[in-house]
Amino acid sequence: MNAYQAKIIRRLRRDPSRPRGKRVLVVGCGNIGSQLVPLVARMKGIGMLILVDCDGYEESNLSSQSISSSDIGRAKAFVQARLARKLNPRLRVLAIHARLECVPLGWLRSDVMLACLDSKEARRCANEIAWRLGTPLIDAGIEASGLLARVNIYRPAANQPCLECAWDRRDYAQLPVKHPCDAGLGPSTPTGAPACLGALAAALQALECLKILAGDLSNAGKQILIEAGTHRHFLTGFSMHPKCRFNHAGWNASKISRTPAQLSVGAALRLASDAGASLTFAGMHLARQLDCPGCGFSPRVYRLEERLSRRERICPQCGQDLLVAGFHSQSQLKTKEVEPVLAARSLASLGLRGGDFISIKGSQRESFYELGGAPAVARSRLITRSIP
Amino acid sequence: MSNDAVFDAFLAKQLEEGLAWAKNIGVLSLSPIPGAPPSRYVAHFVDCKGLVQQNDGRIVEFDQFMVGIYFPEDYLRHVEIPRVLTYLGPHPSPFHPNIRPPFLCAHLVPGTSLVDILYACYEVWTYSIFSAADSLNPAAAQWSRQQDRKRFPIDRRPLKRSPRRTNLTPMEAK
Repeated sequence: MNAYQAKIIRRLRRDPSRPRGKRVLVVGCGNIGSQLVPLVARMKGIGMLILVDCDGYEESNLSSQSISSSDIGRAKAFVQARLARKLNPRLRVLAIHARLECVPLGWLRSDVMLACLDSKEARRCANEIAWRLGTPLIDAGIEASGLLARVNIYRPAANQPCLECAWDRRDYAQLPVKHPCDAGLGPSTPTGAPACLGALAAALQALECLKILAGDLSNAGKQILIEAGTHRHFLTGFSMHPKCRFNHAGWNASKISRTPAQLSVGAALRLASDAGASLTFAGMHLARQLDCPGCGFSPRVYRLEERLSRRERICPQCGQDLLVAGFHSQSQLKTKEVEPVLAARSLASLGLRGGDFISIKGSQRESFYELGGAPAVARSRLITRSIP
Repeated sequence: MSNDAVFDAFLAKQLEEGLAWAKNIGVLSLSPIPGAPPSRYVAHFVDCKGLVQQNDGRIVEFDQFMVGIYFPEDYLRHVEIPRVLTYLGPHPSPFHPNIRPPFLCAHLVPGTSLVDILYACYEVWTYSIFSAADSLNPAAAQWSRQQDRKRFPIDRRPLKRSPRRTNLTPMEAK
């Protein structure tokens, strides 16, 4: 074999879906996020950037976010993806226009996660995903009234604190509660912070990102806070709360090549040799029936509640949002209870997507699997995805 | 058992406290759905007056209701009331601004205990607490606005009574 043949074989053996360089995930492209994306795009050694945001830019964002008037009305993730590609044409970018909790976990695999979010609930979700995937998390926040900019660094590992370790019952009581009498959780309140404060937090976050990518996790479990009003700088350490309400568990998932369309419920259950195994959907719930609180319409379904599209959630009779009552849903499918018709159904028909996680819980242990079919980012430089 | 020791301890405590409380108050039959520890309960309140609408449209008192309670794995951290509370009957047409089968709306926060949930359900059913503004049943909300507030609650007996065990012994005369 000559040198040329060896080079071709090496190239063929290389996994085409795994781009060279580090992967960075940015969640939220608002005040902080829009300032952060250009900083990350210019970093050396970044092979892939994943952007997630469910909103679009509005006119009111012009004063506080790093955008131009032509971006108004466009999805934030897509605008920032194009900007990042302009700054670094070699960068592979996956832009996802969706709520973070709706994105399959496999799409969010990265070397570091940068959260630029404006609500406690979204931060709670980002924290959970970071720990499930074992990804270091840098969470940034700003407060306009005190001119405060801060970043918190978390490393998912034994005895390390998570975001929720510092929360008490008052923090949880502040989280939005979904009631059957309202149409869901409203939009988050804008921070009202100036762009310069967002840029300060973004700069801190980018610096910590560089350190983590270089293997320096010495700031894990710490908060860096700058009080710009009085030019004071604080470094605070946190410790793990032994009774933290979040269980800090990582989901070490094995990748399987079959897509949700190729894998049936029965075949998924057979991934475990345990006859009493049960199939769970990474915290999602399987709805058996939807109910309209407005007109009482109640269609039967067999779909994951978290994967119902906006269209599927609208009552065809009165236009209100359809909801799932707790006793009309289940969090797991046990082998013994699965009927043959259900066993033959594909996971895609339940609403699972490529890159979603499932787990098989046997009597001894729980095994996690990542379903095949996640977006292949190596084939194109920029991929955009919208999840309704 | 889940992999979550804190949540499992919470569930175990709810089972113990819920059964003890149900036994104590006497108007509630609480049935945990098997699990180790159980995360689902069916609570059947009897002798608790609320209102229902009959087929002919009349609004009458009805003295029992059932509610399903489910603690999902993230219950200590996040609450979706439709997921936690399910109205299970037995009357198909409860007449209350905040009940529309299978939904029942009560005030909960992450980690609200089973006893507090049951008490909240009782308060909703008996009209001790209701919100005519954010209503699931607009007809009941309108009706409740037109009523004299003195009419409510429908059932005035306090539920959370803990029996006072006092041993009275006559004092000896000096």
